[in-house]
Amino acid sequence: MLIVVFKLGDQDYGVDASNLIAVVPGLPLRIIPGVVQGIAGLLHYQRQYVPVVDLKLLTTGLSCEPKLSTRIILAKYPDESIDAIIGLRVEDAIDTLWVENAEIQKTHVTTPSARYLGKLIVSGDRTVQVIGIGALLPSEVIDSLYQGSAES
Amino acid sequence: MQLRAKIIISSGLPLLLAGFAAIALLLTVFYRSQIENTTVHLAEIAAKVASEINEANGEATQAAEILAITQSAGLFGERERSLVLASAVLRQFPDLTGAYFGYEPNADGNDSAALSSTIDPASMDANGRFLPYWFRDSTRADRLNMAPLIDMDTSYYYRGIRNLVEEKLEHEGIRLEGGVSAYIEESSRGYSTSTQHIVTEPYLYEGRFLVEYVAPIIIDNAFAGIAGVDRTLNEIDTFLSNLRTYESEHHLLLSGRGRIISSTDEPELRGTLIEDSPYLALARSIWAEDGQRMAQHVIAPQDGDARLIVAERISVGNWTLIVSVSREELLRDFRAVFIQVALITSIGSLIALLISIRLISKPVTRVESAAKIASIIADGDLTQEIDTSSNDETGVLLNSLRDMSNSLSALISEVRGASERISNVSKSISSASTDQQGVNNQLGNASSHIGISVEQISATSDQLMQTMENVTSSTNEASKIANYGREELAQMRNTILDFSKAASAISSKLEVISERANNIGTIVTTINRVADQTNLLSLNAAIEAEKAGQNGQGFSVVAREIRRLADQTALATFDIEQIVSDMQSSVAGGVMEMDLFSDQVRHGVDESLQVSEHLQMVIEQVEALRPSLELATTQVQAQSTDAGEIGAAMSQLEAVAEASELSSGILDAAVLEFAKSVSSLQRSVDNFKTS
Repeated sequence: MLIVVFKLGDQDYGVDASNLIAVVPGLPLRIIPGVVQGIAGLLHYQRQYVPVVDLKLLTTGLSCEPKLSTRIILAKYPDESIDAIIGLRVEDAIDTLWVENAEIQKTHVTTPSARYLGKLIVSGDRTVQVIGIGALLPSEVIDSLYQGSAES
Repeated sequence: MQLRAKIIISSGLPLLLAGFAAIALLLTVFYRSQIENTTVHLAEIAAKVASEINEANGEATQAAEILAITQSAGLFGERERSLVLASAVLRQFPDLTGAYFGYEPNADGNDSAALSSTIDPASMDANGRFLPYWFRDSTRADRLNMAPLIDMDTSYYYRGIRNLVEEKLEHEGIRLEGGVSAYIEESSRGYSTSTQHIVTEPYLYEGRFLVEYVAPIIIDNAFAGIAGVDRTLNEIDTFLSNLRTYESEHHLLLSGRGRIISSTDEPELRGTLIEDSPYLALARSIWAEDGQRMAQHVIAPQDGDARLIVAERISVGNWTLIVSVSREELLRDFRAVFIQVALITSIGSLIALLISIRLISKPVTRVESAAKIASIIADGDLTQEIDTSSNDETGVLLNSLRDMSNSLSALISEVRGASERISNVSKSISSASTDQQGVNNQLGNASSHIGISVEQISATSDQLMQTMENVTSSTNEASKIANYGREELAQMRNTILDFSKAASAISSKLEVISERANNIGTIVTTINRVADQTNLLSLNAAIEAEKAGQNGQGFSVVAREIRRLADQTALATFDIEQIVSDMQSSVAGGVMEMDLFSDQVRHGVDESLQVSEHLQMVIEQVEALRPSLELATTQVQAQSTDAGEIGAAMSQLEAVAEASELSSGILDAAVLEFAKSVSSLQRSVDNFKTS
């Protein structure tokens, strides 16, 4: 299983590459006034606007630093009922990690307020926590973000 | 002029003052009597008016009392006869507008019987209570109408008199539009307490300004009802206005409970409470005098004019009459008299003053002129013509003055002739001697001055020569030193110029280095961007490979390698960036220091150039000085020799001049003494002026 690794603050996180479309530079976003916290804005990608979640903002309350290594990971939304793309803005998205399924451990700690935190992967001296894209945002937020595109 | 003024003042002023004092006294007495007369007159008017009103009030009150007495005397309960009596009284008094009885409920025990009797139903209320009110028809005065009385329990005319009989306050339970004045207790005796009769407050009823006069009916020492009459006060304004004898006369009639019944020329104030009118202060001041007759000056509330007022109390009804007249009008006559007197007095005084000035003017003028002539003679002037035309004492004085002046004049003339002749002779001798002495003096002075000057010149020439030699040697020395300094400076300048060139070269090389460092920085940034793009590419390649599954395995490895290379590149460029940045800052520091050094060197070159120029100028000037110095020295030597020869010649001349001067000095002293005595004589004579 291939994981694209990145950082939020000084912690390593990752997402499963099988669902990913591409990694693009952290281009300037179209701001959405009044949207829920954590949504950084809209990214213009291949003639459509993709909502981008700032993962650092969502987890720590601070926006990602404006650096070259701050990038946007574009992923298919895992829910089959919604045919859409979601963007994740993260820091230090410069590396991948190949792991066998055996190396993956489940955490014993469950966090109801952060259901998107998935399995822990230990590889060498690195510990990477996988993010579940489907659980990032509450369903009503997802509905409000994709309602327009679903109807059109 | 002083003498004249004194005479005029001492004779005229007392007379004038006495006159003015007498007139002032006269005017004061006249003014007082004027005011007093008016006050008396005004009081008479007020008394007359008050008595007329009082009489009318008294008449109406008596009518009411008679009606009440007939009831007590046996007519009580005799309703038909009472009706006839009331109408008869109304016919008897044409001034009255109504006459009436009012019984207490069933006071005569006939209330219910009366309802079914033949008695006029207009004489009672629905219960048969006897309340007949006869009143004149408003259109025909000789026709009488009847109606039952109303408002018995709330009006002064019924409840008020009952209150008094029952020894309560008269206004208990009374409802009166506008109420009574809050100042009623200040009025002459406060609320009325008479149980004999009551005069109500005037009120407006169907266009009539009515006042009621009521007496109680007492049966077996108990209140059984009332008998009363009313009359209209509509004509009272006209009545008061017609009484006026002064143009500004004003009448104010106040009711017993502080209501204005009439204010002449102000019909709109009728019926107003005193506190709602401008006359409150006036009324209070009069009430404070217990309502007695009084006269005083006040400031009128209606126009701010000073007025003389007189007040009179009207006993029936406790009314107050206030009559006032403008003081302005009273004093109108007084003012005319005052102006006449002032005019006559002024003209008379002026005429008296003119006559007295004319009378004393002639003798005073003569005395003054005599005094003037005497003072002129005392000053020594005898040329004055003296006029002795008058034949009084001043004429004799002037005659004596003229004789004295003439004899003095003759004597002075003789003395003056003799002294003038002597003076001329002495003057000519003196001038001759003085001339000679002057010549000698001048000669001696001149030769001695010249001698001294020549000595001074000789001494100065010697000193000058010494100085000239010193100057010459100093000049030579200065010239030498300046030359040496100039050579040294030239060497120094060359050295500094070399410095400057070297500094410029270093500076320009440093700039080249700085530019190259910048170029390196740009290249490093480009490499960085390429590394970033490569990393991104390899990430996406890895993702694509993952999607391809087994087929993409190899590709995935390639992507990883590419990414590692990109990371290494990024790390290396980071180091280069650091080094270049350090180098750039060192070079920038070096350039700055070199610039500073170059500036200082340039400044040194400029300064040494300036010093060199100054030295050159000094040398040139010293060289130019040398030939003129030599010439001056030669000339000074020649001058010194000449001065010595002139000195010897001058000494000889001086000796001759001294001898001559001695002899002329002796003659001069003798002449001077003579001239002095002659001029003393002349001065004494000159004190007198003769024609």
